Amino acid sequence: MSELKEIVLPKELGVDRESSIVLWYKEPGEFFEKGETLVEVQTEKVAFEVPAPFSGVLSEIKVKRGESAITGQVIATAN
Amino acid sequence: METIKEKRKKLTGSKAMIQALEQEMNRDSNIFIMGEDIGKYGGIFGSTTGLYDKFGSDRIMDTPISETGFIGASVGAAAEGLRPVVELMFADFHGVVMDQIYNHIAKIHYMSGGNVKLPIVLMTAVGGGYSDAAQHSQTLYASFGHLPGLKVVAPTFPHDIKGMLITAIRDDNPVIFMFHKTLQGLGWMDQIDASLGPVPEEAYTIPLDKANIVREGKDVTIVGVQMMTVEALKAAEKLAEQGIDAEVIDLRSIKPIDKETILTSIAKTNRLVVVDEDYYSYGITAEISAIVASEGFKDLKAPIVRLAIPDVPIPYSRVMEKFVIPNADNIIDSVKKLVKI
Repeated sequence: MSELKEIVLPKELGVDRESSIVLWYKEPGEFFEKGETLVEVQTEKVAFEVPAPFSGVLSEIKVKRGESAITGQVIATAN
Repeated sequence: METIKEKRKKLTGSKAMIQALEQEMNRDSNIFIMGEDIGKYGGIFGSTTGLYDKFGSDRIMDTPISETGFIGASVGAAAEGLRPVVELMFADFHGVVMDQIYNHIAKIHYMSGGNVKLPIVLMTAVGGGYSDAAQHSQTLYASFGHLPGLKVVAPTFPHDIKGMLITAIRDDNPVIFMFHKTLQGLGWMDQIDASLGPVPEEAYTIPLDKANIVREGKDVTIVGVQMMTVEALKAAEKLAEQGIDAEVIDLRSIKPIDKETILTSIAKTNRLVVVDEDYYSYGITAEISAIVASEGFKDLKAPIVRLAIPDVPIPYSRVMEKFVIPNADNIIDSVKKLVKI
């Protein structure tokens, strides 16, 4: 088992911007390819699809649908 | 008629709608969409997000702010063999386009002796609960259900939203497809659990004339539609803790209405509560009560309870709005009184 990697809310959304999680496209245990949409978030202005920064298997969702996170915050882990 | 495929993914109501539209547009090049802000913007309640980039401006057409114009244009397009899907941004705006809807869309098939078919889907966002005030919060289920010549559906869960939208698109008759804003699962609205659910990936159909028993029970029947189904299910969970076993019917279709499912349920439970997010007078609660009084009277052990928005404009004030829209607590109170009779 490889080490857990962190998935953070990307900086493209702006510094210290709060976004709410709209929809996780993957569930824990599911495989994803680099670049594939992992999660859709909603900022004050736009809906944004967060692409997977690497290929892997989703381990744990830290910020669930309906909850919010700020840019840089860990929203999930994967390996 | 119902065809269900196995591979499922969790989607919001909005994503389920988009998937239905995309799959049908890929299948049939005669299908196109018109409406206000349904292009690049993707529909203000997320009904068409991403479709403009996939299909371009010939098939995803942003229109000027004239419901009379573009919904009227859908009549001509359909009469000439295309299959338009048009979005009336809020059901509340139907006033300016009522001639097109009830004299043209609803009646041309009849007036032409069956020679002209109008395979139009009119999608429209309904419902309140988010402080959008009196002119943007109505469901108006009954206003559309009253008119002969139209099928009117209002699915609740993502699975039904996709399946019923596909059936509506494939139907050669006009269908009013009402989607509830809160059930779209949008990031800027309250995100409730009911707006996310498993949806088969492939295209499938669900009939436009069948209600669905979403919870089985024996003590009382609660009939709801869209958010009132959601509230009824919440109420049923709490009632179960108190030993009352409620059956919940999700109406899904306003017209034609599935009398069979309702009457069969009442034959078992002998008690009925109808809950509606539309106005009280002349609405769904009145219609269902009349059906049951006429055709299921012998099965009733207690008077029918009707919960609906009192005959007032829906208030902007969040507190007052919550007061007028029926909720799980109102349903629980009614059911507890009803089962004692």
